[in-house]
Amino acid sequence: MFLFTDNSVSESIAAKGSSSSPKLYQLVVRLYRLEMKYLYKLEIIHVAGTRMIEQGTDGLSKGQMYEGVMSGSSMLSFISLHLTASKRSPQVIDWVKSWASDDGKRSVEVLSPEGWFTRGRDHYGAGRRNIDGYWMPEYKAGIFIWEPPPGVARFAIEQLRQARMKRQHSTHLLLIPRLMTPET
Amino acid sequence: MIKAADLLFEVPVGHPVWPAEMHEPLTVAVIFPYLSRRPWELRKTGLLVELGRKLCIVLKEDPDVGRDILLELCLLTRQMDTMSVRDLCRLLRGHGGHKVSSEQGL
Repeated sequence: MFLFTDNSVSESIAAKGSSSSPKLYQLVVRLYRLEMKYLYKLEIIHVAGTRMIEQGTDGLSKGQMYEGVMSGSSMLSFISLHLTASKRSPQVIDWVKSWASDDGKRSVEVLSPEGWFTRGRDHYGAGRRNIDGYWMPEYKAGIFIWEPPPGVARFAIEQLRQARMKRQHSTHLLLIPRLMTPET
Repeated sequence: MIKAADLLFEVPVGHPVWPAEMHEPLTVAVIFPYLSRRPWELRKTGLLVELGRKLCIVLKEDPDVGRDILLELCLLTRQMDTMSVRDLCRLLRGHGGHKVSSEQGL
């Protein structure tokens, strides 16, 4: 179950599972007990207040019945957990390249999800066989843009951390719209 | 991600490349190559800590200046391995005399 709220404290304490405030802590415990009792998973996600206004929930309490989903728009159109930064705003990649490429002197590669596992780890080309006949990858450092959608950001970050430990001469740039922040 | 990133900042909504209809800001994490000598990584150095803090303000007030600072930072990181230890230490403490460390009051 997804719960979208403009209260960032709710998101934070639900993800952490704890709070220094006794009252908030009790609320978290109640949420966790409900999850265990009814076997569901509650995902609390912080969104901007302006998004809630556009989506229409905010206006309902003020009697505005013709905004957002109330006017017929799809609820899913207001939930962008599956969209990368460049899908939402294409010019963001050119902006990042404008400063990360040393004024165009170096190439900046945008990684696809497949690339998180290969090029993001400096793999380059088709590789070659060593003297024992085993295939070995070849490596080339680069500047990489990782732009996972917020919904899968934690998987991309896991790969990025591994890539960083294994190959240490590349520059990595991670772009994520600020949604599902406890996961990142 | 905060633990791994050398530089972490947010592009605010209303920035030319991240318009108001995006609603939430865009989080950008930059991970530079490791240095070949101490302090090995740029994370937590005075230069990067202060820069991350100030970038959030600069990107709101003057996006072009924010881009220029990021460009100069990227250029600087390529030169760090060839700098003398003294110059590198001064730079990483935020006293390098470069745009990223001085012009913006960083």
